[in-house]
Amino acid sequence: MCKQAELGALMDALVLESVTKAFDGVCAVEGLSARVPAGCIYGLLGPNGAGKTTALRMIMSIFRPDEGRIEVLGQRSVREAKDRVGYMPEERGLYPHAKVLEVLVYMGSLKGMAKAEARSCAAEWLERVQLTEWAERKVQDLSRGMQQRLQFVATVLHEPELVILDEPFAGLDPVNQNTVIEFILQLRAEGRTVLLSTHMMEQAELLCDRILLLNEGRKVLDGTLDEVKREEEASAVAVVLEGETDFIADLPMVSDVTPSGKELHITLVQTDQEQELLKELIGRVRVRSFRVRTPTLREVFVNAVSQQNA
Amino acid sequence: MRRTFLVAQREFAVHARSRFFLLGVLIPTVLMVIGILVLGDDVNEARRSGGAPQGESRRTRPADVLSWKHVKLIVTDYGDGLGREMSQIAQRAAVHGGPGLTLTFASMPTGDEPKQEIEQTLQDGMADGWLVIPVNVLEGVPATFYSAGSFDSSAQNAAFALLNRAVLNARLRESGLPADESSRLTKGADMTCVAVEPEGTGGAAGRGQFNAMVMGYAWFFMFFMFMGIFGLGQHMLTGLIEEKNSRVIEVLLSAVSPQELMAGKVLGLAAAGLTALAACGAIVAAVAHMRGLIESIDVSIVVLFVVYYVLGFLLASSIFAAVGSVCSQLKDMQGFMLPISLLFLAPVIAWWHLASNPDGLLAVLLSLFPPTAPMAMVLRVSVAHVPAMQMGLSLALLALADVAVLKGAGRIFRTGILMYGKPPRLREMLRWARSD
Repeated sequence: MCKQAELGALMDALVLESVTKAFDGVCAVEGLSARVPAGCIYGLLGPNGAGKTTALRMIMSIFRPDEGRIEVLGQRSVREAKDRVGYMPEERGLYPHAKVLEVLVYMGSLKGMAKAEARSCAAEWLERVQLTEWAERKVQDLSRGMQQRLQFVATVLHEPELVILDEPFAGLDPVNQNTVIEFILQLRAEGRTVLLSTHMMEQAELLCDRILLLNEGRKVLDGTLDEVKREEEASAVAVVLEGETDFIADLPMVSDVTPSGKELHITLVQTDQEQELLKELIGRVRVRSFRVRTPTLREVFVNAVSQQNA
Repeated sequence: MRRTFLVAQREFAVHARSRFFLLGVLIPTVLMVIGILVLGDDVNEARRSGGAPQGESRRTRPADVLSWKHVKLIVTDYGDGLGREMSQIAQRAAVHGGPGLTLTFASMPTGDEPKQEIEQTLQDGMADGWLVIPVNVLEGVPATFYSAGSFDSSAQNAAFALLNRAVLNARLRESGLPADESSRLTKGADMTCVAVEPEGTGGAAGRGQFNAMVMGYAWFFMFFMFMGIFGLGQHMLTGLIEEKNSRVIEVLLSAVSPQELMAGKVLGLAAAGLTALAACGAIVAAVAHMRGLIESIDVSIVVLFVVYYVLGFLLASSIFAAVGSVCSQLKDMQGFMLPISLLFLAPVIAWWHLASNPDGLLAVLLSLFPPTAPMAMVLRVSVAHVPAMQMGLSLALLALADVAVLKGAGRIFRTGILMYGKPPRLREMLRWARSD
């Protein structure tokens, strides 16, 4: 493998302070502040239209924020650190008529690599992602999964310290999703910082050390996975019931109900409503089991978003 | 700068492999080569007969008084051997480097309508003219010259000059003068012809000629600008739209700034245009050399040509880059292409007016207005003298326009490149161009 990037002893790879961006009077991101510690996988979560892509584009200086400050790898703007950052946009983009190796060499060169170095690193990476045989074929000849792997290589070829991935699992089958997960974990193992935008909670839960939940352009939650879950812990209940259970979703203290085997996972609107819920259940069905449980990230997400929207 | 160069390098490779590039080289080259092959003789003839390019001096000898292009004459001689005398004079002129002349002797047609038979012979292309020399031509009886339906001055001049000299020689012989004395008396003066040009006006200035060679520069230039705008310019636009639609643009913008990206695209396109120009120019120069016309190519016009081409191309490609950045589909682009093309190609529409009135108000205005300046000015300097002041002002305005448009286009590009959907209005784009 190519030499590992010499990573600086940065405390925060990325700092956002009160960043705001509006389009035609509609606020896409509002007063967003966050710190992404170096060397972690940081999840930027949120429903569609939450402002995740806009936030990433501002970090990449593709958009300029209307207000606020963004610091990337200790620099006041990503423009001063472009060669140290890798960015994979949500909508993948590679020249469809260009050859696979040619595209990688061009992208690597734009990121400051010498052409010979880019060529040799690209060849290594193509072998690693099992695309060596396709090196001289056109990008458009590749399958979607192959193009995704190629895009990933184009993003990390120059060994960036900070890797920004916008919806890296979108449109991938489970096998290719696992491949991407492996790549991301490998990046962390190499000491790189990964900023991951996704609305796929299972993958985020598996990968992220820290998350930031964004809804309607505003920050809803921010912290380590454990911190975020702990905050929501008292609002997650697992029950085993006998009888008709359809009424549960309509109870005022319930925000979400998900069947899980014999259990029902119930998410409460507020953290101190479990006694209230139990009282309701006892009066209407037979309760065989009732326990407060650690919520999944999906439940945290749904709960936080529905609370804010309410 | 390095990133701009990398983008330019890729753009150049993409354009140079495109069919637009191939057509951009082929079409003007083929047209110019055909022009040289077809018009080469006329140009050479013009050079010999005094229409030579500026600055060329030449000496005329008496034999050159009878200079003409290759002329075929039929002579019916009732005038005591004057026809033979004409034939000898023509042969002597040919020995001294004069052009070809074929004299054929024939009797007058004997049919009912001799004039019609003569006309038929000429219309069939058997000869350029038919000269009938009467018996008492030395006493002042006029000869008769028949030409084909159209007026052919070269054939008429040749017949008149030959007959004149033959009559003069015959009269001198009648007077009893020795041959040497006759020759001395009829020897004309030598004369050196120098084309005088106003100082600092460049190559073709002051010629006031409207011949094929000088127009060739203007035609050549027009085709190149035309192919550049409609070929390579459109190729860049479609490439940009493809980059937007395939979302490559966002990946590129994570590596280069919009300004670097646009500058790279414009430079790559300009380099492709210049390469096409150089390739075409080299082929045309080689063919011109083979035809002995290389001396007719005016270096100062070629330099002016290249300068205007580069400045004009930069202006056009900057505008194209700005337009391409705000378009998401080809049909959006077509809406912009027509007015832009008209703006740049207005001199083509007014071509004949400008060529026949190179110092008129319209010609002056178009040669100062930056988008039309390249074509209009190259046309003007090809056919007339353009004051240095106007030339300098035109170049300065064009260079200033390049800087301003490149800057404004960069701002439009920065804002427009990530926009999808309906393109903005012109007023909105101008607002972006002004905003910092």
